[in-house]
Amino acid sequence: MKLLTHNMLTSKCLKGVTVGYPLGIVVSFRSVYNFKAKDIKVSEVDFNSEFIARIIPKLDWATLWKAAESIGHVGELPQTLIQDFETNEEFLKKVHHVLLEVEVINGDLLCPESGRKFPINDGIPNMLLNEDEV
Amino acid sequence: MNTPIVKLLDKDLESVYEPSEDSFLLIDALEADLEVLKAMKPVMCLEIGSGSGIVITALAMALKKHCQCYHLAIDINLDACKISKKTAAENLVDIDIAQMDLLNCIRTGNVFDLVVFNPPYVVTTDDEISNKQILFKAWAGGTNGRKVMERVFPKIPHILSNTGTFYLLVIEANDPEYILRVFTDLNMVGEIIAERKIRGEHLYILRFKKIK
Repeated sequence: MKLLTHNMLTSKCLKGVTVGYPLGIVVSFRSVYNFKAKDIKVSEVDFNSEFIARIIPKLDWATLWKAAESIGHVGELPQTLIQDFETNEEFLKKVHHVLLEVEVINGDLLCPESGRKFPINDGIPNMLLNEDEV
Repeated sequence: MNTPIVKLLDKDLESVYEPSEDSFLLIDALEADLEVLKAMKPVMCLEIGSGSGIVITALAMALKKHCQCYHLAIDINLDACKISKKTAAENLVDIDIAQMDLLNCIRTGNVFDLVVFNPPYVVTTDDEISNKQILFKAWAGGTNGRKVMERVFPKIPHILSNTGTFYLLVIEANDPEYILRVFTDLNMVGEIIAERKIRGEHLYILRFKKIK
C-alpha cells in the first residue's frame, strides 16, 4: 500500500464514526537475520515532475505528512505545502518518494475515532466491514 | 491497446471471474477513447471490482507510454485483489490494490480522473447477491441486475474529478436508458459509446462526464 492510497482511504462508513480520517498506520516488524525491521518496501520509481505537480492538489497534505512521519519516512518533507511547488524540482522529488516509492507491506490502518483496525497483508489493506459495523 | 497476459489457475477460477466478452468490450471502448484519454493526461485512475485485473492493467499499459498515472484497483474478494496485483506485475505496470466493498472506504474529494466499473450486472434474486460463495459477488446483480451498481452511482460525482470520466458496463436488462436518466439527476451527462451482442447478452458501455 502506497501512501498515496492511504491518502484516499477513510473509515467514515463505520457506524458512529463522523470523519474517520486520516487513518493511523501501524507498521509490523519482520525479522531480517537477527534484526527487527519495519515491514516497508522502498523501491525506485521513475520520477516525472509534471505528474507529481498535478497530483499534489488532489492530496490532503497534512495526512500525507503525518503518514510519512509515522512510518519514519518523512525525511525533509515540510509539514506545510510550499508555495510554487510546481517549479521546485527538489521538493517534487521528495513528494515523489513518499507518495510512490514507499510501500507498507504488513501492518494495520487504524480508525482515528473507534480504533478499529484494518489489517494490511502483503501490501493489500483489508477495508471490509462486518454487517453490524455499518 | 495490448491485451494483458492474465494467468488464472483452475483454483483461481473457483473464486475469480475469468476475463470474458464484457471485459474485452470495456477494453475496446477504452482503446477507442485512447487519444482523448492521452490528451486529458489522467493522473489518478480507479477500477471498482477489478477481478482478474485485466481492464485496469490494459489501461495502465496503454497510458504508461504517454504519461505517468497512479492506478488503484478495488475488489471485495481477496483472491481477486491478489490476482489483480499479479496481473499488473506480470505486465510490468504498477497498480495499488485495496480490498473493499464497492467505494465504502474511499474518501470524497473529486480526485479520480478516470473511474471504470464492470459491475455484477446479471439479473438475479436479491438473495443471490449475499450468497456465501464469493464468485456470486462477481456477477449477481439482484433486481434488474442494478442492485449493486446502484449503490455506486450517487458516489461517482463525489469521487470523480471535475473533468473526469466514468466508464460503466451494463446489459440490456439493466435498462441503459434508465441509468442515463439516473445520472442526469446527479448532474452528469452520459452516452452509449459501444455495444455488442453476444450469446444471451446485449452489452453496452456507458460513458459519463460531469455537467460543467
